[in-house]
Amino acid sequence: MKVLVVEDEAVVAKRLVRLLGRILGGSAAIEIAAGFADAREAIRSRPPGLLFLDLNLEGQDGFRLLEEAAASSFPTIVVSAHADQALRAFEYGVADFVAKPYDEARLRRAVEGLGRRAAHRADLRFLAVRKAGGIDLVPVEKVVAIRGADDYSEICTREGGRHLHDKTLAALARQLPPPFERVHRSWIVNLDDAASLHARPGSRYFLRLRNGDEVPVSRERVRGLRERLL
Amino acid sequence: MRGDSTAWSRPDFDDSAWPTVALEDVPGTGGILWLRTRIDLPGTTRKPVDVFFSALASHEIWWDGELVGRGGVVGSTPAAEVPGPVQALYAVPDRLASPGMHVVAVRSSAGHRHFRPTVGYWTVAVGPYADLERAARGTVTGALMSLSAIVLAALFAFLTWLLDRREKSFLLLAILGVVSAGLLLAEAYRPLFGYAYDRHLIRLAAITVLSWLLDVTLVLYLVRRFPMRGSRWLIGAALAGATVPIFAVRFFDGKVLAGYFVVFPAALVWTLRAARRRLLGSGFAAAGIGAALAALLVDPGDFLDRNLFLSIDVLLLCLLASRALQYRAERRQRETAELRSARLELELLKKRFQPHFLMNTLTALSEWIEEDPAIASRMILALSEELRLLGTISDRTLVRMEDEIALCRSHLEIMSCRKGRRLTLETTGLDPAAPIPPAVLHTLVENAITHGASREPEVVLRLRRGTEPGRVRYVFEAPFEPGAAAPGPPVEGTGLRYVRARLEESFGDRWSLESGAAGAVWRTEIVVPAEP
Repeated sequence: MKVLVVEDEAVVAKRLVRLLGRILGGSAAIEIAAGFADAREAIRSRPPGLLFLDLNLEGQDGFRLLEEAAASSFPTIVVSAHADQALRAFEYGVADFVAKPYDEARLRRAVEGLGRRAAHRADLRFLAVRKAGGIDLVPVEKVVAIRGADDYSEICTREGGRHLHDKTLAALARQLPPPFERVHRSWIVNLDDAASLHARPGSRYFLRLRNGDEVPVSRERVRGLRERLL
Repeated sequence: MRGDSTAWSRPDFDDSAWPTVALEDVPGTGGILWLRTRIDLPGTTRKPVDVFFSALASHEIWWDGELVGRGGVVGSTPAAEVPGPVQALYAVPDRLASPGMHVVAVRSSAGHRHFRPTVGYWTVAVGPYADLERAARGTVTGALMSLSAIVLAALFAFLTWLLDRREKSFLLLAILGVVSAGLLLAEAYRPLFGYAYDRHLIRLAAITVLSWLLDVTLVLYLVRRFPMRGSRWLIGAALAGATVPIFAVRFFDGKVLAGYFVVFPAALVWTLRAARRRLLGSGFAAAGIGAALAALLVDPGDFLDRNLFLSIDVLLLCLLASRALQYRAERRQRETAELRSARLELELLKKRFQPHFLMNTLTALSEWIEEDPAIASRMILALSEELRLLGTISDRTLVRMEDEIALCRSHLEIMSCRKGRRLTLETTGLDPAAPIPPAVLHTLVENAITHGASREPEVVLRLRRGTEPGRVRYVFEAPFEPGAAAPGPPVEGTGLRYVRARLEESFGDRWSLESGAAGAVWRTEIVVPAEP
C-alpha cells in the first residue's frame, strides 16, 4: 500500500513512519512530505492509498490540505496536536483523528478501522468536490442521491446540481451517516427524500424520490428498506 | 487753603481769593488744609443725604457751616493729629439737606501718610445714603464670592497634593490659590473693614507683594504643568517683569499692573505653545489666562478693583479643569496599560501549554523513549527547564538577559530533539544583567525555526549586542530557506505583535523593531533605551 505522511517535524514523522512500517508490514511504501507545497504536489500527482495528515503545517492553514484530501479518492487520517480540531476534521469526512502523542496501538486501531464504517459519520457536514480552480464544499443535507460510476461518484443535490466526486461509492457509503442508505450496487439515497417504493414486473424494484427521480433498488435490500420506510 | 479758621466753613464766606484745584491735584501733607466746594442738591434727592469721604487724611466735614462728621482728630502737627479712616460716610441732618445750593467744607491734616502718594486719593461725594453705601461696597460682594470659590479650589489642590506628594503641580496650584485669596482680601479690605489712613501703606505693600507672588507662582505652575523647552526664559522674564516695576514705577497700582502686563501675555504664549503641541489641558489653561488678559486690557484702571477677582476665579477654574482632563487621560492610560499587561501575561502563560508545542514535543519524546532513551532524558530536562523558566518570568514585565537566553537555549534543545537537527544560539557581547521583556527573544527564536527556517542539519542563530549612546541595539539573525516556503517569514504574525506589545509596555515609545531579509538570513533588530 502506498502511504503519504504529511508532517514537518523530522522526529515526529520518523515515529509515524516507523510505527506504520510495523503495522502495515514490509509491503507499505511510505512517502514523507514535510511542507505544504510538497504535500499538495504529492496528493495531486501521486495520490496515495492512505494519507496521514498533520493539521498544523508550519503555521499554514492545514485545513486547505484537508479540503484537498477530502476531495480525493483515498481515505485520510488526521494526526494532530490540536485535539480541539477533531470535530472540524470529521465535518470533512476524515476516517479517523489521532491526537498527539499516540502509541502503536492507537495507530493500529486507526488503520484497521479503515475498511469499516467511520465512527464519526454523524459529524460529517460536507462532501468536498473538485471544481475548476478549487474545491467546493457540498453540504451533506442537500445531497439527495449518489450514483456510483467506475472509480468516481456522481452527487445529486436537492437543487438539481450534479457533482463528480473522486471517491468510490463504497468509500462514500462508509463516510455518510443515516439517513443515507446504500439501496443498490450503484446508488446511495438520502431516505429523507424518498417518496415511495414501487415494484415493476420481473421483481424489479425502484424508489421514487420527492424530486420525481427514480432510483433502482437491489432485490436483497428491498425488505430492509421497506421496514425502514414504514 | 492752608491755615485754620472755622469761619472758612460758612456758606457766606467769601472764598474768591482761594486757589481752585481739581481733587486729583490736592496738595499733600503740611499742617491743616481746608477745602471748600459748592453743590446743588436737586429737589428730587432721596433722604437721608450723606457725604462720602475718602482720602489719606484726618478730616472734619462741614455742611453750610455745621460740623456733620469727623474722622480722627485733625491737627496742625503729626503729634497733635489722630489718623482718621481712609473712607467714611457722614449723614447730613435732614433739616440741612434742603434743595438748592450748599457749601461743603473739609478741614484736614495728613501728617501720618508715611509715603508720598502720586495721587491724592481724594474723593468727596454727596447723595442719597443708599446709593453711596452701595457704591462704597459695590465690589465687595463679588470679591467675597470669588474668595470663597478660590479658597475651596486652594483647599482641594492642597489636599490632593497631601494625598499624593508626587503631584507637585497641585502644591503650586494650592499656593496660587492662597496667594490669590490673600490678594483678594487685601483688595477688598478697604471697603470691607476700613482702617485709619496711616495703615494705607501697609495694605499697598501687601498688595504689591501678593501680586508679585501671584505672577511668580502662576509661571512656576505653568512651567511644571506644561514642561517644554525654554522654561528658564519664561521664569526669567516673569521674574523681571514682576520685579522691575516694583522699583521702577512710583504709582502703586502701576507697579502691580505692569507686572500683570508682562506675566499674563508670557503665560498665554506658553500655554498656546503647549496647546500647539497638544499637551493635555493646555487649551483650558490658555482660555483661563486669555480671559484674565482680556479683562486686563479692556479696562486696566478698573482691573484691580473689579475684574481681577473674576479673572482669578476663571483662571483657577480653567486650571482645575485642565488638571481634571489630564487625570482622566492618565486614568485611561493606566487602565489600558493594566489590561494590556494582563493580556500579555496570559499570552505568555498560554505559550507553556500551547498544544502544538506540547503535544509535538511529547510525540517526539515517545519516539526517543522507544528509540534512544538518552536523548529522551535530555529532552525531558530541557522541557522542564523551559516550562520552569516560562513560569517564573510570566508575571514580570522585564527579566534578566541571562534568563531569557537560558529560555531560548532550552527551547532550541527541545526543537533540536524534535526536528533531528542541531539548532543553536550564538550570542556576542550580551550583558547578562541587562533587562529585556520576557519571552521577546524566545518569540524571535520560535519564529526563526518555524517559519521558512533553513533545513540544514545544523542551524546557528546569532544574537549580538551593539551599544550606542543611551541605547542598546540587539541584532538577531536566523538563516532561512529562500524560496522553500513561498511566503517567507511572516512580516507581522502573532509572534511579532507580542514582541511589539511587550516593548511598548516596558519602553513606551522609546524603542524600535525592524525585521527583514538580509541575504540568506532573516534579520530582526531591536533598539531599546539603555535605562528602562
